[in-house]
Amino acid sequence: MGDSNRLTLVASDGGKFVVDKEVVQMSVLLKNMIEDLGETDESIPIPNVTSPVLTKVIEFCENHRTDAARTDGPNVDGDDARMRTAVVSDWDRQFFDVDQDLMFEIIVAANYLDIKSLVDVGCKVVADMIKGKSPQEIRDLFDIVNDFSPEEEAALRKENEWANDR
Amino acid sequence: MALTRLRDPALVRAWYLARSDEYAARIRALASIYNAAVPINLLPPEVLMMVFSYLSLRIRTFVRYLLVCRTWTALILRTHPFWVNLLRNAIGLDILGNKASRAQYGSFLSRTGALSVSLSTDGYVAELAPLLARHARRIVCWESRLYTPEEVVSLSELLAGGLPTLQTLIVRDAYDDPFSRFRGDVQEDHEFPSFLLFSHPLIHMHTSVSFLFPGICSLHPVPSAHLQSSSSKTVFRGDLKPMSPWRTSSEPCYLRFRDAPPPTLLLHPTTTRTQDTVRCVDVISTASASSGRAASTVVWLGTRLPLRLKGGVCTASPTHSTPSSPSAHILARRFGGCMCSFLRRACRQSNCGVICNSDSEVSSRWWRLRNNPCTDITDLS
Repeated sequence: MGDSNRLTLVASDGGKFVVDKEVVQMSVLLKNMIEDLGETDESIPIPNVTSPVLTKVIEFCENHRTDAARTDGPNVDGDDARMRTAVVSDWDRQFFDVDQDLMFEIIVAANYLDIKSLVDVGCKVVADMIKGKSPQEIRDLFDIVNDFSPEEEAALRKENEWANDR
Repeated sequence: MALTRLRDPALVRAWYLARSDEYAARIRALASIYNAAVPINLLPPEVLMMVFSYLSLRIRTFVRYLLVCRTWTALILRTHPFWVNLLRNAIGLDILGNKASRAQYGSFLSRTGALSVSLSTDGYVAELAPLLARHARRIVCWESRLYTPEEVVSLSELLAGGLPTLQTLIVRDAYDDPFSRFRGDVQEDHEFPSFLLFSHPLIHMHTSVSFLFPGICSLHPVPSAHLQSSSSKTVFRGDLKPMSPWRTSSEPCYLRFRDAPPPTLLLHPTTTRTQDTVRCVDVISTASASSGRAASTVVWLGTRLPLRLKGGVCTASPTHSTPSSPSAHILARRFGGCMCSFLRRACRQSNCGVICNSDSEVSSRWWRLRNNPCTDITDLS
């Protein structure tokens, strides 16, 4: 403690994490919080995030601290400008090589903490999992059940399947 | 009483059908509740929509993502980038062939919300114009394969009507595109009134021989030219510079020809004396930087007219290069020997480009070129 460059984060289950301020500030939520609080020795509670999830989030931020400046550039919010290619680095892919529950919890936490780059990578990884699969394969993958009636399914197909193919 | 009624097979069947429908509906409702609690659907809607926006889509198969569950369907219909991606990849489809597909195209377009869109069409029909007019302010890129002079006329009318945010226009002669649906014999005299398309106010003519290599290099501009229609009547002769700031509709459109075949472009006398007759025109147009509106307006018009250029009087200077632009991938074909050495020199200087001299060669190289501007230059001399 006492090191003004380090902060203590407290997960919902009480787990404590001492993290570089620079790393913490990759979260827009925490960055704003720190700015509002000013210099403080108090630890910051993260009530919605458990220790295992927070560990992963911090791991990601530690690894990506150097490219934080890049993600601040223009076009990050430009929906149409952003070329939606699902290119994910090997490190990021490895990072998300965890069970599905944890993967989605990481993405939810990243969204809550407003860590854009982590949400982005998470979404790309999930998109990659979905890509090219049939509806039933996707359902099997994510434990989803079919809640369409045959009539509804036929109507959706009729409305959206390419007219020239019918 | 009730028991005796159950002995009637018809009544039992009716009872069964009514009940089974009811129970099926209840099971589906339960399934929806179940689905709402699976981990992926616990992602906030905006995050799940972001996932959908990262899917690579093909128009023949995208419907599979709508059929996973009700939650997904509802979200995907609201995910504007999903539909932007879909329409961007729609080239290769005859989207305009019938009324149903046009209506469907319109509804996909509506689902893009207020986002900018890049549209691709295989062919073009005038009936599409009213549908597009509603979205004209969002169309930033237009790519079409065109099959007939009538299609060129229709598209030029669309452009004349105004696509105020258009930055990139790519028009291909379908007969030269190995991936077009056209598979028949091509008449040798097939010609496009390509120049019609230049009436769009955002399009500048970049008048130089570099129109043979759009996006790759700019050669020294040709100071003047005259245009000659096929009937040998001179249509335009003079300094080409007035065409450069040719942006507003109030100015004369020198190159607006409605009589196919298109004119012959004869270069300046200093080059025409060496028989530099260019009958095939691939044109690059770049919006002037000073216009401040469209830094990357690119026109790529391909025709399959035979091209003859002798002498190689032009020197290349690679001042213009847009690697991300589709026009950076060039297929030049049907050239004579002297032209080839000239083009090869231009390619080397711009470090990009390829020359093919047969249809099969064009086909085999096409995909590589689309994705990878290369320095592969075929020696044709």
